Amino acid sequence: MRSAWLLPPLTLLATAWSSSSSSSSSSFDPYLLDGGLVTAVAGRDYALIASDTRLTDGGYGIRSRDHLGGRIWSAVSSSGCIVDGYDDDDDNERAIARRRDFVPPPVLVGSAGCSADCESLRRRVRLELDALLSSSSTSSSSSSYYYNRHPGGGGGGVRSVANLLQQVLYGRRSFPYYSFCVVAGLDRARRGLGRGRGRGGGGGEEGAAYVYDAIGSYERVAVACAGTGRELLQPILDRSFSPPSRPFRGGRSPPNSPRRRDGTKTTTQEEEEAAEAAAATGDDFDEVDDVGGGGGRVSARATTTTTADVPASRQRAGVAGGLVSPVRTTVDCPWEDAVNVIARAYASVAEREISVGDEVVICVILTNDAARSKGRVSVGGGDGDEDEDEDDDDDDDFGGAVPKLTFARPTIADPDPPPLPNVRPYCNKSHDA
Amino acid sequence: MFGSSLVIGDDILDIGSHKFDAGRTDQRAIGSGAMIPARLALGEPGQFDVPDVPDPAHFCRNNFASACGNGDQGQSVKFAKGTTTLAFKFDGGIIVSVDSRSTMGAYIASGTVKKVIEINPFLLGTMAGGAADCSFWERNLGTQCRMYELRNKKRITVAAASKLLANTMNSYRGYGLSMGTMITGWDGTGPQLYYVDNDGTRLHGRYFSVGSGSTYAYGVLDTYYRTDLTVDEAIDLGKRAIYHACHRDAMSGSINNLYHVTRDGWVKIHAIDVNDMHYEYLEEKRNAMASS
Repeated sequence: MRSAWLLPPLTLLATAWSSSSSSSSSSFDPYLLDGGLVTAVAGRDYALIASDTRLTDGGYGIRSRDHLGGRIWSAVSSSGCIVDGYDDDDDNERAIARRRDFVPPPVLVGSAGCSADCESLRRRVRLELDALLSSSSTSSSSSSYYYNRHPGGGGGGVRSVANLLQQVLYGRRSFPYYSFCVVAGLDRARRGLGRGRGRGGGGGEEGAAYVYDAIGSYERVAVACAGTGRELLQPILDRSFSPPSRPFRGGRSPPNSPRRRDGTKTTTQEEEEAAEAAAATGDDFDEVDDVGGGGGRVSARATTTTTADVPASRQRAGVAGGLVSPVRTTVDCPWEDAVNVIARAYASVAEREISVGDEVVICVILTNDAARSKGRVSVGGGDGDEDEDEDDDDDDDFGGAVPKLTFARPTIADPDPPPLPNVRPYCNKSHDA
Repeated sequence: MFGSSLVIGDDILDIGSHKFDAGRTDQRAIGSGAMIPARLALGEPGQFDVPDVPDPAHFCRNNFASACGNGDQGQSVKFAKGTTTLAFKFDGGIIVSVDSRSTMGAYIASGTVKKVIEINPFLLGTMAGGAADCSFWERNLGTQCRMYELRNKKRITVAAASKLLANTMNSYRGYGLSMGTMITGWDGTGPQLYYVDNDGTRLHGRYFSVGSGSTYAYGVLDTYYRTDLTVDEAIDLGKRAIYHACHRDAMSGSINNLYHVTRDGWVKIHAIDVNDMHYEYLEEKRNAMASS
């Protein structure tokens, strides 16, 4: 039971406060909202984090056009993950983050709001994690409590960081970090093992993304954004990544047409629904990986219509992995499509929101399987024997569990894509203290 | 940069000569312009920092409250909140029915929030008010319940669990926390239902509804509630009450999650989009009109 409240000496702001002590509508205004819009996407075999790089002065002035320090950061500083980039690729490659192999898989956090609070939060989280990791590693092996390396995927890596972030944020409940965060990383897959389904079925890892409010309330989602301009971006992402499981590319009717208010359906709607019902297969379902036996199949779509669809008998107390939220927690599209969608969505938002703009930095964390199969994705009609350089020899040493942090190399589906924001490699010249 | 060496914890740095003195922090900080970081929490907050003002409670209440409706309009920092939750006890156990929308001001932050928290296989807690406050303190309650089990080799009763939470809320009274929760479960004395809120209120009852849409849900509950409902009737009542609340309250909506607490623990019954319920009830009305 916590009943002691410390009064910490926040002298930086003491002068501003002491004059008006009692009034709530007073001059207390310690937060400077300098913008930033961060997004996280969880795919079947990747996790992605994106951010713009504009830093404003809280109003309409721009302080920096390539600010990334507090925006996207790795939760664990000791893994040496520093987001930077350099011009070692062609101009038409959007080389944003330098490619690295990471063991264990990095957990990336994106935070936006008050950049001072974001940087402070970054230091705090890294401090906590470093303390925990160093205090719990017992042997010389690099495996640690949070980042287990046994094949089949990591332990509670991203989940632990996600919960830690809640604790850190809530610890400042009475004087919050004005930092709206998203977290992305690779998690042990909840799918049944051996259910190979194209791009991501066989591996033991899938993407995980979490979104937070400023005091730590968090939720695991498939796609989420946070920061200024979120109201503009989130609807685009909702539509682009909604089932049927392909991003909306235009030229196709949107998946969920509005019904008439009196309940009657238009004939096209009825046809659509019949077609959807006929086409609905088990692919839409995330099978719950249930260690104790008795896995449950739960409809991953949020629009279950009858109680019969949800196998309630499989969801009860005591069944391991029993309770599954009826929400998609991964998107089905390949990471190249996701990057495309996000780059374009940011371009749209930048048109209408002054504190979003300049560059978009997109970091994609791939499982090893995804990285290997990337070579076979046809780029503009190729036949699959390019890009074999993605398969390093290093992969074999780790038994297939090495994730890669790579730059975005999207496929352009449309012949004349709309112009994207000017994306150039980001060079990080500063380092953490 | 940080004025002093980091204080990791008393037991690690203490060599017997100096105990960590809380008073020392103040001395070092005043006038030095340094910000002393909070004691390292190692995953769990130790103490809560408050702003350095004469009346921290008043201050937090006015600037960092997660108030429902437009209560936090003047604040620059808005937190996720808004909801309708309900629970009622009947002969067949307890039905817990909640929506899943969370709002930050006028923005719908999420339509997929889990507002029922499984404290343990026999205890459920609902979440209404500030999302972070509820999820944090109910998780904390789960820890305390588990410690009770380990120490006493038996499961905690619902009355005791709700009391623990109410005591915690009492100790933070006035600081602007917002939490209205129902703790329900089936223990040695049968099915029990308690309402606990951020003022430290703790009430025992047969049914409660909490949240911005609770008045609408009460209308339905008050009209149709009986203790001798069958399980199916009870599920239908829980579903309808949430539907009506979501229909009229803009802060509630999305998916209705419904649970049934029995002697053997809790079971999830369904997760239905309330929009689909609207059309289902429309059909029903139409059929009823046609047949009469």
